[in-house]
Amino acid sequence: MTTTEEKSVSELHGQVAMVFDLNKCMGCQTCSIACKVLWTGEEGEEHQWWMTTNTQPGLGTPKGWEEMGGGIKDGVLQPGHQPTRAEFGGGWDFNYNEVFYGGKGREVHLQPTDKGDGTTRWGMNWDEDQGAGEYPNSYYFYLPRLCNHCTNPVCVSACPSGAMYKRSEDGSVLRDEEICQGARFCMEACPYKKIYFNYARDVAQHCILCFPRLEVGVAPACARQCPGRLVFVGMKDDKNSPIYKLVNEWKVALPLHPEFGTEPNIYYIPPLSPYRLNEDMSIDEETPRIPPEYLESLFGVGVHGALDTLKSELANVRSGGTSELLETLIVYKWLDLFGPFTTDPSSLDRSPDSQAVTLGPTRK
Amino acid sequence: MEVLKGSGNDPNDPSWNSGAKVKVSLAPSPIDSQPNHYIREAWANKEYGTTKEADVTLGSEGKKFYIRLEWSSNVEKHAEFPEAAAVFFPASESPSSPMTIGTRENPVRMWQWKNRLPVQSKLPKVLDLIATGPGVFHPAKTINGSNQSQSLQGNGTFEDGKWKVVISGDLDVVVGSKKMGIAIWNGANQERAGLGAVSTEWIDIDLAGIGL
Repeated sequence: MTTTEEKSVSELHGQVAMVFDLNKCMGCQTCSIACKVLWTGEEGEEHQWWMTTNTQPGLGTPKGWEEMGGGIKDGVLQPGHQPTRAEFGGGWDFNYNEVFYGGKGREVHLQPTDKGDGTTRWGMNWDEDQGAGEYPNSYYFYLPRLCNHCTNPVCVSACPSGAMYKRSEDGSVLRDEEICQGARFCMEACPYKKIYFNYARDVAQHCILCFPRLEVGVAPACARQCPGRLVFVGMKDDKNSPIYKLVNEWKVALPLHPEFGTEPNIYYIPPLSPYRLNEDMSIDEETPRIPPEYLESLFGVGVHGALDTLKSELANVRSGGTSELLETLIVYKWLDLFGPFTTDPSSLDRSPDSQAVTLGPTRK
Repeated sequence: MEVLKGSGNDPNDPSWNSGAKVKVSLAPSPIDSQPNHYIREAWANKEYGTTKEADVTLGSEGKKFYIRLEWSSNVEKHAEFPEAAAVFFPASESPSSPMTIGTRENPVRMWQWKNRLPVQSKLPKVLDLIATGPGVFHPAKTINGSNQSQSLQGNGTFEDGKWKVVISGDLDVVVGSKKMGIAIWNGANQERAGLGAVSTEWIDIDLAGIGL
């Protein structure tokens, strides 16, 4: 059992990175819920989902985020659109009183209350399982997304007040909410559109990489709660870690939209897909069902080599060989996912004076 | 500019009519002075700082100093960004132009009123800030060596296309500065941070009328 003492914050230095294996993601949203329950349960946070899992192809959240600009091109920060409350959608109130106590239970059905601001016309997983393609060659896959805690965080560069910073302990990109003036240039500049605005508190907010958990050796909630064993966590430059091998040696873990120029630290194993079926229902073994050009639009040109590597390793095992890569991706031991962050949070001292008490929100 | 004895936090109080109302010219805070590359690029070809002028009246009662601002605006409804106004006081005796709302070398004390949303009822209407440039605003309480953060007050009303706002704070700050700048943000035009309209000249405050 790993102890808290072995993973104190003073030992942390570098960049924490994560790898999501999309071949194992089943879109269950346990990561999203784990984050929601832990971090965004207060007033002004109702619509905030720092962790989201969307069906691809799709418009995602906020609606159409990939076309909203921001990021860096040729060393120049690009103007971006500030996602509106309606484009995020969600955070709904429901007509519980009308249905359950108003005597109209037989006439009205439970539904979000339309406030006329467009927020009931979209949500964090609105286009779930729509995907693309024509039957029998329709296809989709799931894409979990959180703040990329970029190496070049344009949100930090765009903040006028200096409220945002990237800290050296774990590379997390954070915001001092005491200083944030609610100007929201961070929301414009972020090309991944993973920053929300808290209208009740007049500050922007986003994923904090569960830094209070990292400080006591606990993996981020989205990773630890994932039932699919698909989220790797670790220090990016640890050459013995699965993260390093997946990203740098096997080159099967790729950043999302590398052309955005911010050097994200969240990586993805791209999805393999079944072959297409011909009209006579025979199998077209030359053509994967998910168009390679679509995957290239998400993960860059490196996606073709990554898929080739995955396929050749699979073929190798099927013919009786072994594959360290596949052994790594299978994750026989759950705790192998979490690098130095294997501490069980239930084993920590949660008394008021302990450091671990900050595992959840502390503001009251 | 003379200071009226009395008045208070209600911008529609008739007593404000007996004070000297001065029309102050405003202009956009310079694009070259904006605090980072992103804002300078994104707003290089957009119009901001669109409020051209504001009427200013000053009052004082006891240890309080009141500033009444009035300006024309096309929008009452709260847009994505709030309508906002601020007064700011230089600490230096020879401050540079007010157009940058302070500099790193010459910070200014800024009292900023925001037209709050109903959901923001728990937030202060007026913020006590230290400004070292357009949009480079920090809460006074977070600055080492600054005076204690004050309990500022403010009220705003919108009627017949005009905002009327009173901002009030400690007279001591004004006595120590004797100069003042103002800034207005047209929220409907996404003006915020350093993208406001700022007084082009310092306003000299004449405290003789209140015996100082």
